[in-house]
Amino acid sequence: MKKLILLFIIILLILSIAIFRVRDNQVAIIKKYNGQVFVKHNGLHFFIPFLERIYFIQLYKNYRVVEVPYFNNKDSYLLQLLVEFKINDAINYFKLVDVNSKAVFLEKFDDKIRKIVIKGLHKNIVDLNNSKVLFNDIAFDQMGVVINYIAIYNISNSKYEDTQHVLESLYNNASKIKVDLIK
Amino acid sequence: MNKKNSPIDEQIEKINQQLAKILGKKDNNNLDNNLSSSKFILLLIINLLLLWCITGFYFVGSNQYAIFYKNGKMIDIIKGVKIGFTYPIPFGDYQLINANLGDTLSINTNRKEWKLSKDLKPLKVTVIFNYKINNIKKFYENFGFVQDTNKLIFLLFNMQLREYIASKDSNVLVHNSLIAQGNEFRDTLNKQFEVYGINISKLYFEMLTVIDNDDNFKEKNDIIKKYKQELKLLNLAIKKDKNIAKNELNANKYPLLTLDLEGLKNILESNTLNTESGNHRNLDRVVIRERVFR
Repeated sequence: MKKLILLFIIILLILSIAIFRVRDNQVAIIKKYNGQVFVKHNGLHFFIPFLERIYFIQLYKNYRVVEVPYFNNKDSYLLQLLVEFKINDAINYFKLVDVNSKAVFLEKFDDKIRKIVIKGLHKNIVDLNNSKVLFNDIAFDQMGVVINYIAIYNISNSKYEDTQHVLESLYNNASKIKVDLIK
Repeated sequence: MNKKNSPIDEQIEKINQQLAKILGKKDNNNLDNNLSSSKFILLLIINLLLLWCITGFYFVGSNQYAIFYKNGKMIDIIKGVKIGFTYPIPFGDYQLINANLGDTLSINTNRKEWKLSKDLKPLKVTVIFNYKINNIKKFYENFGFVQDTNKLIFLLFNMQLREYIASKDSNVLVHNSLIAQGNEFRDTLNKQFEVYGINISKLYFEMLTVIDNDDNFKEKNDIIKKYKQELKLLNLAIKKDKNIAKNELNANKYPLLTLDLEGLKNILESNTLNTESGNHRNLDRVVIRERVFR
């Protein structure tokens, strides 16, 4: 009988370790010992402790500011774009983040946004300034994310800033000449 | 040969006996007093069940929200102070959130973040606002548990601020009442933020200033042109005769070149150029400060 009780307690312990819940707007990625991954959605699930690992991925809205240089009639502007995105394919997202890192994922993400904006945006600066959302519903299938929108976060006109930099470089140049002259 | 036990050996013997008791060795004298195996199992199961039920106990403090889940699905949100029971682990669980989600933030645009008006004039804007999360369910459904709520609100607010500034001409923005514009912007924001469960209770523009315009940009470029010209003349003089060039420099023939960097920057910023004829020119700047409330 004592053996039975002991067995019951051991089973209870293993079950309590093996059970896990996945909340709303969340998925769990289970990575097997052989590298195989599968996804579990909302609800109660089991996994094999020590042989499998769980990673939780949030499916809420994420925001990221991406900077893109923009040229319009010789004037250069710096576009800051606000990107609202969500993870829609947790497996693809996980594979990318697991093999590389989150930083690499974000780098690739930024590059893709820049390419889309540079390729697809042919507006003059007035129209661009009056725009709100530039692009809608774009899926990055291989990255497992979907872009809800790309909106303009800010436009800064470098024309008004350049004067400072030009003057500084001229001053440095003049300083060298003056030092040489005094020698 | 009999060996007399030492006090240490006796102590070890006592400990051994106690350990044996703990591990289940029955005391022959107390056999009748022991519980039967079935009773023991029943007691153990009841205790375990009680312990399991206790995992469903919750306490929500003042200024706290609790979000309840059943099998991972959100079922209820309550605000403290409350004590009660929910489904035990793993079927149910809850998460506590600070109910005082809200803050006063200010946006003070710097050189890189000037907002362009509809007529493409860069504006320096200082705006102070107060936000509150008035619908935690909507907020949570959109953003989940946000580590830095202020940062998120700042991003969304800043985007809307740019849109607002870009929808109006600089003259309108600078000359209209800051109070009226603040109220108008606040109403627009509250319509936009309603879906997120965010409310902007107070908002006022502290400053709306046209930073630069094409006219004084031309002035700045003129200063740079003059600087370049002086530099060119100095180089030519050096090529002819170094001593003459040195004397010319000392005799203040190149007024811009004799200035230090700070002096040059001041000229550029204030747009005041001491020209050869000795005239000072100041460009008007529109600076409006209006305090709505404090």
